[in-house]
Amino acid sequence: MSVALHPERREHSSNVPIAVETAAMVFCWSFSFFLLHPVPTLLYFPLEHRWGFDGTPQGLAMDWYGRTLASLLLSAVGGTLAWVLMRRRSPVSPEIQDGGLGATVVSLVFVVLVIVVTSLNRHLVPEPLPPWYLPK
Amino acid sequence: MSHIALEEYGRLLLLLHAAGAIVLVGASTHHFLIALGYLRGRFKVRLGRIYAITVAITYGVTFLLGALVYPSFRYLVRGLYLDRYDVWASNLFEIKENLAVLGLVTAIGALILSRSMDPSLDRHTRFGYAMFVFTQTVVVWFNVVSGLLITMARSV
Repeated sequence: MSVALHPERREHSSNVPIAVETAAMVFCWSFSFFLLHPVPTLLYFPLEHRWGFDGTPQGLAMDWYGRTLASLLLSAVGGTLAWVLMRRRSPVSPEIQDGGLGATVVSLVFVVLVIVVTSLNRHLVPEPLPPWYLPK
Repeated sequence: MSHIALEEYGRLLLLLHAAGAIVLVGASTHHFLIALGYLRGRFKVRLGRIYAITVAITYGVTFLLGALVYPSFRYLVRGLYLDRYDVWASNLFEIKENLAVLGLVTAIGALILSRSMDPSLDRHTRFGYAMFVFTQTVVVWFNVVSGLLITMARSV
């Protein structure tokens, strides 16, 4: 069964990869930024059942949700902007396409390195043991 | 006892999270092989699109289940135990949770590209698609193995 795209749709979507790669790169760089710089972000306080933007949180706070949400939103905005700007234009040259692909690879490698390095260099502070807690 | 959000459903959520991961590792690996075929000139486009959407949906569900069980894990497992007794597992989890977001992005990217390209004609897109699929599959395998190792150390 043929699954080739209709020529009009194919022309229309010729710059989709650029938009997708832009979104991926924006995600990589924004996620890296949030990992490397302790900027105020949305925090979840599991023991207090609340969300907040506290700059220097007291007690147990989780920044993963805020970091994830902010990076995904920025990524979506970046990809959408690229798509809006590129969709009516003729397909970009192969050189630009290859450059975009190379930049995306570099961004992916960079964010993986940042994730590994920052995860291994944390200052761990265990939570105080509550009276009811029995370690197995 | 503490009162963490969804704490009473922690084990059920973790079980469903693991079940999603089982489906995901299979679908991702098949998707990986399809994308590898694209690079070798074998274009199973319809199958590629089916796996792309299967992976994206399964990834989204598994990711959401992980996010729901995370508060319980963060306090009861990591905060009280791993950070004190098994630091390696705590660090591994930190890598896993952050890579999971990267995997989500690449799964969505592969889905969009699978719907918009003709791999027999779009050489550039073919490579971009393969890159997203490879990255996402590596993340899934890493996270599945990491998840098993971490839950061997301690679980909710």
